[in-house]
Amino acid sequence: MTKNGNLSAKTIYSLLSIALGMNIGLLLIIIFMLFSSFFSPGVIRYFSNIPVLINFNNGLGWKMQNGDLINMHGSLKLANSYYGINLLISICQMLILLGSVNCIILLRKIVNTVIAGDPFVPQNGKRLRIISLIIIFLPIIIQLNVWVATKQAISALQYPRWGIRFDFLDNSSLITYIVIGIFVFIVSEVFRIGISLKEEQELTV
Amino acid sequence: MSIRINLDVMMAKRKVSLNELADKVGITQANLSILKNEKAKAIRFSTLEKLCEVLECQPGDLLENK
Repeated sequence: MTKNGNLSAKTIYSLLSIALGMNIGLLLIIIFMLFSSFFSPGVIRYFSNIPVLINFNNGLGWKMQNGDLINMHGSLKLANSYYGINLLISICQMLILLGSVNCIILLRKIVNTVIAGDPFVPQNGKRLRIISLIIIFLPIIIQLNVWVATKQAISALQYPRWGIRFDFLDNSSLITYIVIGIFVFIVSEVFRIGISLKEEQELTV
Repeated sequence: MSIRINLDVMMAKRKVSLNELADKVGITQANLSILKNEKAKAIRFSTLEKLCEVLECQPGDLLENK
């Protein structure tokens, strides 16, 4: 390993440490807000967005013209008294942060092995596989949770709710996560096979 | 693995030490002890040839299927 490569690995390691600290801080803020919401039921939670799509073309006889507003993305913010929905959203946020904390810790360990000079160890293959599984499955779980929360939030609205529905468009990044996760999974499999080849090579006398 | 390596028996018969054998065969002592402790996954024909040359034996004297 050249000195330059080691330096960049150390830079990445310190950046990952900063990201880890920020994630843990956000996690603590969310836990604090969830805890405090039980003591302030009337306050509106500005921290939690529930993504919705507001559709104006709602079959009520609206005659569409050129340049008409058809739909728009928005977010619902509920008061703290909707404990169940807010709890679901908080759980989603916590799951995202826990997943990213987990990924960052694993990445830091991988970068550590790079700094030590030998990243081709069996543990790194396992770490990459865990990261890929988190990237693939965590967004799916979160999407399901957000979907349930949005359904509940829309049914809790006081005013007429024609055309307000769960925002699929805003969550189209789900497919991106899955593709990235599959990519990382393939890399981890290649890594695993490479490591076993290297071990065999090393144990050949 | 069912293949056993009788290197230590052969070394005792010829009365050579690990250090000496490694020097004569031309591989490192660490690699030779990997082979002796049956942790090796493969052995090159060239290594086997040199071992047989130095220990004056056949490959069958070094390897055994159990």
